[in-house]
Amino acid sequence: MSAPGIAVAPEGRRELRLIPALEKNPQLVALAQTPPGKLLLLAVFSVVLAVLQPSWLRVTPFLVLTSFFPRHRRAVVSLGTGVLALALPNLRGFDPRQTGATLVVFSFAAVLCTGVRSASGKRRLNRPVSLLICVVLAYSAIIGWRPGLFAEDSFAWRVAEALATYQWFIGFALLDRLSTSADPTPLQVGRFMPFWGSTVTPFPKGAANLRKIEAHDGESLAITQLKGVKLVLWCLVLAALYQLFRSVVYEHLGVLEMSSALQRIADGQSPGWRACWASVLCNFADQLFFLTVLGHRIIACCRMAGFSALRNTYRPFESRTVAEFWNRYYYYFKELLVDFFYYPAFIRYFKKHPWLRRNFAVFAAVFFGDMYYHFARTPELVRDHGFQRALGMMSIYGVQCAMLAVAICISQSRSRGRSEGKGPVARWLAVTRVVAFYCFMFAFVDESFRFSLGVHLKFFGALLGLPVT
Amino acid sequence: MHDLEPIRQFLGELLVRSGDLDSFSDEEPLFSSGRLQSIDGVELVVFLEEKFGVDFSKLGFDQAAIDSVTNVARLLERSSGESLG
Repeated sequence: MSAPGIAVAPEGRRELRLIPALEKNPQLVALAQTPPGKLLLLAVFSVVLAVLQPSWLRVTPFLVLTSFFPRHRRAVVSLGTGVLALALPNLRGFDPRQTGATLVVFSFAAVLCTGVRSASGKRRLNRPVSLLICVVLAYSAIIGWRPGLFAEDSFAWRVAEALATYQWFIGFALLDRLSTSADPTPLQVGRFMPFWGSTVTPFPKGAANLRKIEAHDGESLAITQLKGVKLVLWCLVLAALYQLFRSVVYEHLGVLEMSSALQRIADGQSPGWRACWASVLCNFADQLFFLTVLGHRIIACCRMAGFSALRNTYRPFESRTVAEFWNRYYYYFKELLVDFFYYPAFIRYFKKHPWLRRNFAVFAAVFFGDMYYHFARTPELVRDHGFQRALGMMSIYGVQCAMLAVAICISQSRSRGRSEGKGPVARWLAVTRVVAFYCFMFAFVDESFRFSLGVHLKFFGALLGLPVT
Repeated sequence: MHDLEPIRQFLGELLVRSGDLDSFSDEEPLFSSGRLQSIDGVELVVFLEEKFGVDFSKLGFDQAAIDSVTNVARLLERSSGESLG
């Protein structure tokens, strides 16, 4: 039997745990099934969540309901979505225009889902997600007919924002059309941006996934909730380390944030290759911390609601290849691209040419899918710059996506072709290679779209030791 | 009714390849539980196409349909129905 805080890893080696595996303690599992135990778990969870998330009170009431009325969990999730999306869309309170826009998008989703489910036989719509993407692009083209055509407080713009927020939730509801156990449309819509939070990337995947991972009895609910408490505690530790990291790196050591380093290059100054490497390495760690803390907080809440969701970020430094790191770093985004772009391309094109088939599917997901995701996620680019110019501004993302797509194609063919060495040196070399690749790739990541491709290329050159000016 | 043994065997091989030596039941979800990854799904798709002649471009693809041995069996039934129909 394992000592508290020590777990036995699959290979048999003992692994140190900062947060003990609470869900493996039978007494705790039994306690978590009783009303006082549930209250205790909810109290501990809420206290930690309050430290991590100022809007914790938007989540906790629904967690209480799902804990004490697990049979009505799906209805509570829908209720939570309804209340938060329509009545309290933001911390400022009720906003009739935002609520109206959300209602328009929810109604559109309901009509689309109902239409797709009721169509059958030859009338069956085989590519509902393509239809959704066409609708989003057409609406973007209208919004971006000319820059500034729609003001920030116009209803048409609010609809564009809502469409950008809910697009992938609608997509997962459409993918669920083939399932025989699919929820009715109103409940499907109730899974859009569930009360535990999400980004525009659904955390976890849509209603079909939630049905699979839902706790089915008292014991599995207790285990799932204990895992939720464990994750939120780990998240607290990481959040503290993240604060410390930012304070030491950016304030005390004076490392330039990526945007500052890019700004210097845009201003014609040369920060020097050492400063560029420090900036890109710290940016890499920063992004990793940020995404891990965000993902852990959301998934911990999801687990407390009784859904045994996988973590979004899971031991990224155990990755031996670029493809594996991508999977471990941002799991739900990768799943989104796989479900909406990779598989559809893989099952349809180049079936007789295995090499081309795999690599085309990778490009469909990582190049086209990733670019489209970021384009659709930032409708303000289209509103402010017009549709055509906004598309042009995505060229920086294009470089990043092309780099990632090529690297994943190579890493997939390499991992099929030979086995990696297992020694610690081989492991460290593999991890170093992966981190170096992502650092080079991050030279082209700038979500503010403030800098030209030329500035990013100069930064990339600086990493290679080339003169910037 | 299809023979499910080759599917069990193939899924077992995929699990072993990813370092998972634990056993699994026919009902156990393998993808949604995180035991198998999307890349394994691709291997399974190719296997089902080659061994059972499944045409996913006609059936439509849903990862839930290959999540467990039981789900794959249902998919094969549906695939047979489609090709007869």
